Amino acid sequence: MIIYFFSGLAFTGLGLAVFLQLRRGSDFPLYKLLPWLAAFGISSGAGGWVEMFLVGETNPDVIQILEVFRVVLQITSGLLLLIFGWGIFAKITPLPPWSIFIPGIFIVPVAYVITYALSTFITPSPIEIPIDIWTRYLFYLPGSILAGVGFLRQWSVQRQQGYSDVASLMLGAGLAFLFEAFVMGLVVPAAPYGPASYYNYDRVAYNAFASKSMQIQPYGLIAWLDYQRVLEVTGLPIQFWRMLSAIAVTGFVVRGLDVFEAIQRRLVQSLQDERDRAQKTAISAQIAARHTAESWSDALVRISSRIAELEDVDRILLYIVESACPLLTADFIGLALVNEDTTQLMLKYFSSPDRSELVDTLIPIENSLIMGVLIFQSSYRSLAGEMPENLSGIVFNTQNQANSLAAVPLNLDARTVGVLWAARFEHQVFSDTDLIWMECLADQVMIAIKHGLMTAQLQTLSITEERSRIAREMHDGLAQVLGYMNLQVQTLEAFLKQGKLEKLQIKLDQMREAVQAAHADVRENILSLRTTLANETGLIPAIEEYLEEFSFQTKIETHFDNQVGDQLNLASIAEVQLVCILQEALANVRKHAKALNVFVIIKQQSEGDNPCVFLTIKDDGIGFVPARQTRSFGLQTMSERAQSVGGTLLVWSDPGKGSRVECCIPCLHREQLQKTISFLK
Amino acid sequence: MNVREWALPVYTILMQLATGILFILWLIRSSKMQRVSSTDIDKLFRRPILVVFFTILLAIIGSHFHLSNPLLSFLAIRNIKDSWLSREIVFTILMFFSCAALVDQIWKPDKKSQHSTFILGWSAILFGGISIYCMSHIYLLPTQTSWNHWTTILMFFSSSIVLGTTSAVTLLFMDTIFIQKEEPQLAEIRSDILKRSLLMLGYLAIAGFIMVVILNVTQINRMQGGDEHLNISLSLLFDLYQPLVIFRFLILFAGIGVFILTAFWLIKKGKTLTELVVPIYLSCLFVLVAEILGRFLFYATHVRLGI
Repeated sequence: MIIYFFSGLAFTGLGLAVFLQLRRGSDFPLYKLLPWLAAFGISSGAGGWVEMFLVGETNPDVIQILEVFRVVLQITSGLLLLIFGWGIFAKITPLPPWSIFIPGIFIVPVAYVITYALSTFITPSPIEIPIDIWTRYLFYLPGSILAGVGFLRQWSVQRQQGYSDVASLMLGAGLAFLFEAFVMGLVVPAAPYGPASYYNYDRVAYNAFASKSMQIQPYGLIAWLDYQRVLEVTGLPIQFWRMLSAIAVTGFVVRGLDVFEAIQRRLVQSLQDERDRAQKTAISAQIAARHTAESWSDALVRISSRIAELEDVDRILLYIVESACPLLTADFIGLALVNEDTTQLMLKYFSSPDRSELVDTLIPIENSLIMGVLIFQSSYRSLAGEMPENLSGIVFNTQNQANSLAAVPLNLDARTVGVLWAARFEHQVFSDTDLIWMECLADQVMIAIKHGLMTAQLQTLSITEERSRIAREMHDGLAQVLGYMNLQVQTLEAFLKQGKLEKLQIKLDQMREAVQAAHADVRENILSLRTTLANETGLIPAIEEYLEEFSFQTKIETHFDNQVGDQLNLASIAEVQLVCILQEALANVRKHAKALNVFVIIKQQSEGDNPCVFLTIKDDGIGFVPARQTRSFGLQTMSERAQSVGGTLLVWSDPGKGSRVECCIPCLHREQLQKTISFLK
Repeated sequence: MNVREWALPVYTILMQLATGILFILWLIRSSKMQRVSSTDIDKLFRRPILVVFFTILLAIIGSHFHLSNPLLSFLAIRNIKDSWLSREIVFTILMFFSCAALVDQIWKPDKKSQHSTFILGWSAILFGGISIYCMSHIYLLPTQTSWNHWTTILMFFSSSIVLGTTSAVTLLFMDTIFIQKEEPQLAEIRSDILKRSLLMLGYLAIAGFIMVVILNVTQINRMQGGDEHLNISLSLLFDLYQPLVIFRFLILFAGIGVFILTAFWLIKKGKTLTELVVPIYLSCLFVLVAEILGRFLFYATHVRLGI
């Protein structure tokens, strides 16, 4: 009775444990089979307890009812075990293709066994006996074997995948089911028919091949297959061994339910690993992207810096293609411009990892893809599988064939004047990001070209202005003096003929003064020309040198107060204008102020948000009334010079109190450049 | 019935099964040969022929649990003139060897003589048929009144037809499903052959079933109007073995019914072979159980005259 109790308890525990696991859910394929296992456990447990009550019951009616329950529960649990066994054997891990033949191989033996089983139902023994026997042979035995082998397959599968924890649980459950197959499926009660009872009670087997009867060994395997033999051999009833198998199955399967935890842990771990990998990948991608962006930004800043420093356009463009080569990991960068009559696209600059060159000879570009970029004014990048013939004629000075292309147009005022392209020899296509960066480079190319054109225009303008100024100076100074000298020479000739030597002497003195004044003007102009056109040493040294020379020539004491050091942060053109303004102001001092001292102060201070360079020229001369001098003394010229570089110019003077010229020029270009550099970094 | 007695249903049923399967396969082969290449048709039958061969082998092994030392089987040839049993043994062995030759012919790719394959197949079927005929004649004994009737001969052949039809189709199902995974390019051809054959085989299965029923009804009528021994046999059939008799006919009807339904689902409803694998297995199992049970009843209900 106790044995039945524990047997029922074990199976019921199995059913409940599996049922609880069912409520937790899982993606593991075994989960779909748990309902069958739970139902098997509960029905087997109920069957065990029904047998327990049968042992102690004496009322025949109750016994009959309990017997019916037992039979129904036994068939039910056997069927459930068979379904579970088949599921775990065949459905968790796919069987090999040839397994389709397994049912075909077994169908004939199974048909015979079923027929044999049916024939035993017409024997005089109680019907529950054949039901018991055939339930065990046909349901429990194959069900347990299939479940056992199914768990062992999982043991093998999990072990191959390296999950030893899960594998060991599967092994235990598999062995437990095989043990159950023996004690629950093979050992049957005594009956007047076989197979177990046939061998155990007749004790005779007929060997057809030997044509004789043979005695079965008393303790061979077959001898174990009925209840009596098990009791005789082990000293314990089969019910005890079945209880043991129930406990073993329950123990191992309940322990084996940890597989779901292990699977869950594995899943969580794999998700964590995947997340970590994704994070690392994302960080790496971010770092790479930032690195790329920084590289590109640095390159663009360097290009901008060269443009701002008025470097030669050819050098700038060569530098651009040279920089693009490593940035795009390209094997060739080309820059072609349309010729003057806009009939052909000519290669002008190219760069490869080992050389960069400004092309002297005429190399026309005839590739249809590049010409397409020029004509349609739209960027292009080749995709994987681009036909090789489409990429011919885009690389030069190499024997390699390009296999990937990216090209952008060079647009100047809505007109395409050239194409910048990159090529790779490997089958590695350029990305859309590469194309965007190339468009930035193209913008830089166009800025450099525009800047070059503008600088050339400015230089032409400056030369023209300077010539005008020299002409004006010669007209106002030297030409006047020479004209005056011509008249005076005629007067001197007359005085000489008339013998008026005193008057002659006076005229000669006047002429000497005029010549000296003209000489001073000429020397000043020479000084100005030298200072403004040849100041390669920097603005402040040039001013210092000029003031020193001015003081020496004019005997006017100069006092220079430099409050900015060497860094003025002015554009080159602004520096030129500043020097010109200083020269003009000092020329006025020399000519008109009759000053003994002139003070030049240069300082930097902010005017609103913009820092400016302030230049003050102050003298202790006779002064003048500003309202009357608005169009003289070169004041107009000075004011225009200041305005041309965004600055202002003011003049203060009172008769007898000297004069003061104040010029303010904003440090526009370099300051903005610094801001751009900071922003990009 | 003990083990020795069960050897009889094993041998007789397996021989009838093997002959029936081979007959059905060769019927399909002969009727479809014009539409597909000989290579394809032979490949289609490679594994089923192997199954037929092993079935005959199992039948022979099973028979020796009933007979005697298998090594002395050749002695049967000495009594071929007088003994139906000796004739049965001889023709069984002939069928076995012709089937072995057929296996060799089909499985070796270099042997591609379609004519010899055709002849070998029909020879094996002929030997099998003669063997079944001899087998049935063994039971036509004056002392076994319930067996001693022409219905016995026809019963054996009808069993062969019913068993062969369902089992051959099951084998072709299995093989085609296997081919779908291993050689998908051939699967469509085989599936087509199977579908074309199913209609004919469905009619054949129904005819076999009707034949079984008619023969059994004839036999029962004979028993009712027969002598005392036949009445005893009849009473055994409808008394002790009644549940098995009813079950046998029910399950035979179910097996043929499922077979017809499977054919209908495949041809008309367009279901796949994989979807129909369980019904076709069930139909085969049901028919097998019904025929084995019929054979069991055949042996269990006979009454011997005299000692």
